Amino acid sequence: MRDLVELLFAYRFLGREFLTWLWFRSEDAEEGRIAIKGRDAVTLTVGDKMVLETGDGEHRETLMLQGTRSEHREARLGLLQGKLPEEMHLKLAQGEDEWQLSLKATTLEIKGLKRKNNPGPQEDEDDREAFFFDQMYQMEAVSSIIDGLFREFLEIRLSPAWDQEEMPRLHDWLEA
Amino acid sequence: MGIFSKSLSCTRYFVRGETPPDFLTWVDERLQHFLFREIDETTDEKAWGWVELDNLLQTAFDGGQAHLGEYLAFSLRIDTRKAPAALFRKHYLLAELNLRQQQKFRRLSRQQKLELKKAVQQDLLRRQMPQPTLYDVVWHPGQQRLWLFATSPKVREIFETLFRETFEMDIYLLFPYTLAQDVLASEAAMERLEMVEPAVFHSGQGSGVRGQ
Repeated sequence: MRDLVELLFAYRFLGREFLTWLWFRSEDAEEGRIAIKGRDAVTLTVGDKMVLETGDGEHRETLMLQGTRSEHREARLGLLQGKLPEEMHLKLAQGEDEWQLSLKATTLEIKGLKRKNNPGPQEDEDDREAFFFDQMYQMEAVSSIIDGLFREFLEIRLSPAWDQEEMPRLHDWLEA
Repeated sequence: MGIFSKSLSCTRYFVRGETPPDFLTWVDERLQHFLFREIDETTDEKAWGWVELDNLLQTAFDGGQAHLGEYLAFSLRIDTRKAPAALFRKHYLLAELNLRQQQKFRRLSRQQKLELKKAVQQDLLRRQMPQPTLYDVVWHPGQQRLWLFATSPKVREIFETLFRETFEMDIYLLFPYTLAQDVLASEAAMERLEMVEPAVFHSGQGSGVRGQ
């Protein structure tokens, strides 16, 4: 197996393309609903913060956007100029659960995951243990959704359908 | 921003390797070998080790403290002594003045300056109390997955080294390539992953897998 650090940087583009694809699907699919094999579909909305980058190392250029959906137009312009999302704020909903988080492209790390109506930390020892399990339930659910979405992305990305169907649709969306 | 926070930030890992038959007892024993040891009475600049989950002072792992249902949960404690830059500057200037007075205000040589900086730094560090920080770790052995509630590369590095040393198991970061390895079912798909090239979004032309 190749060195992991080398692979981390060599496949950074795949994480950035994944975020781009999520963004495209969130706006292209009806109400942002994305099907995941073997589990309930997820509703995805791209939130109001995004970091776009181009290149690596010293030639890296960053575009930070913070605002409402009107700024997505500027972000799409960034895409047309060769920048790709490195970090994206997402809102996910599945069944009755709703979360928001930031996802990083290079490491797929999850930042600032918040669940709607989280009761917050508890002082009582028994409640604290229950809170731990609840927090892990949230973390596992979101981890599993991200993995499922990534698998859906990969299946298309590594098939002829990527060039034949997905990229033309993606370009139409970009230029709309 | 650990597991008990309303806002969770984490890095995910895969854990691979053989586990001994009496796995849970073995985990307790291994954690006890690599407990956090206080450095308040030493001059060490940095120290790290395991403590109970979200508990700075508790390091007893002999009664299953790390077992929470199907999870193993504990915290990485890292203590660091730091001398603030402004404090260092003040004490360096004082020491420099003192030394120049001793040598009748002759200028200090480059070597003298270097030695003085080192001595002042060490003296200040000795007088600083170490700052403790905690990073929660939740391991799901059944799924061979682990969550580290930290995103800093420096913390990740310390964690990965200490985890390997403690459990003698292989641990590797979840990122696009390693997640792809985990979710792709066939060898053919893995081969396509090795061949894939970046897509071009800005020229109006697609790009996919080499040779298609």
